[in-house]
Amino acid sequence: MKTPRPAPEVLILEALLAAGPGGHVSGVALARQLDVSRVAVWQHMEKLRAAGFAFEGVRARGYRLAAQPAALSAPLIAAHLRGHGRDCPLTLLDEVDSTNEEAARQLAAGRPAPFAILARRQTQGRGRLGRAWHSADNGNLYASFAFRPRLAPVRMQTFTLWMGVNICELVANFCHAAPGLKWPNDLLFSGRKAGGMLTEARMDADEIRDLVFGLGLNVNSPAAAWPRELAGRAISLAEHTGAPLDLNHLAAALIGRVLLAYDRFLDGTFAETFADLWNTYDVLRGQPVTVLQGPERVSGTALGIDDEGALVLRNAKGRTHRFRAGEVTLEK
Amino acid sequence: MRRSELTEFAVEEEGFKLKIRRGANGLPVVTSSGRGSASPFAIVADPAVLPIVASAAVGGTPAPFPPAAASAPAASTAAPAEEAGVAYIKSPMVGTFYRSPSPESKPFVEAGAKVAENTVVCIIEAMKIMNEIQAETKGTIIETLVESGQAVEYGQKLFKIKQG
Repeated sequence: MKTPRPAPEVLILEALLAAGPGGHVSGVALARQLDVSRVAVWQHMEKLRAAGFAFEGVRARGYRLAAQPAALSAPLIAAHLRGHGRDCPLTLLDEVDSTNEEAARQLAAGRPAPFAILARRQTQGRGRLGRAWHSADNGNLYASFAFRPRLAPVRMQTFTLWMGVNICELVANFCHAAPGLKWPNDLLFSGRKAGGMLTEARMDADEIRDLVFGLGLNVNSPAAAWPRELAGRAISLAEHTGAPLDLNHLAAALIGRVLLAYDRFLDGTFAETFADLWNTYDVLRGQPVTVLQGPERVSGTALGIDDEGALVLRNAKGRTHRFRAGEVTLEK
Repeated sequence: MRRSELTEFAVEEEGFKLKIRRGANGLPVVTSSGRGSASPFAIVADPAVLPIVASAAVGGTPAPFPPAAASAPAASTAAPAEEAGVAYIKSPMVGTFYRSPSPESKPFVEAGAKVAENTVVCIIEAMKIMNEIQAETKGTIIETLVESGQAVEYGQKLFKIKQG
């Protein structure tokens, strides 16, 4: 991937992050890395200070990153990403109608893929079938990833499910608490919704031309912040683990993970681990469920998914049903 | 097919016969015969669709990826068969058909709507992906042939359209 030289702010943050929480980096070293004067380094640090960062200078040792903004910061995410050896063009917006819409618009306008769109707030955040996704500026993630896979749609059959297990793996690693997946696109903690995924595609003759994978992940929102209709139904990772998470580090890890997962999906290597991972996180397997698909309503025991990612259900009479789409309710 | 120099290709297999040729207007013309299956074309041209019909056992052998070459050139539009200038927008995949982006919103297109090649006419939800389907041809919608929320087969007619 051709990457332009990162902004000086990104390089400064990358160097300070690499030095670790107690580590220092000298102004001379920063100036050398950035290939600018020490005065210029200082000016860039002033810019970062205005954006919520704090630097502690110690004579003869250099600078330490003493504080960072809790809200999403594009240079900080980029610095974390580079620290993980990944690079991805990234747009962070204060507000947008929907990150999926914005990603689709930018794909349509010809922006080279892949790229990521993040927003602090969505005014029309949505899930499947246009359902609203609560998207206040409350420390949660609203992110979309844009790709141009040029694949026949049938090749994409387990894409969203594969991305789902990857998000679960990421969350499990990041906060040492494993979420569950509710087919096809919900992430749960203790039966409450912690995240949702929405994959949208534009076809071009027989191929998928534009593909947008969107994720809403409840990260740091406090329990009291949910609107009444979501109270008891939604949960954030912080609420589940009892401690706020480093939102920018998580965002960077998410971007890295999604890009890697996409590559593995396209080259086919995902198939080696997909079924096992799905079974690890599947919360429906073995549970009594009801599936609604159009006029059809079937109750039974969830058996897992088939090769195509369809939900398999066995009803009371022992008959097996398969659903490619539909609403699932877990019967208590 | 438009991307290749092929003007005609035919497949015959176990009682199915499929023939695709480039029509006078440059659009593919598909003819097929065989058992009265709803979508013999899908089965012949795209083996990956087959497991939906054939996969009976859970936890059986995982289906390998279909060969990438199994493309389906005639998926979206077919040349006129009955009246002149009348064509159909067909489903490029097995899935669930939606006329509008959400149950409360207006349909993408209704009878009488003029569409261009890139006009989005519906969404088909398949493989957990919401696929926006474009008209792929210029013209006027005559009729919507499928109800919102209905399951559609590969190659199923979705809209009747007057071309031009």
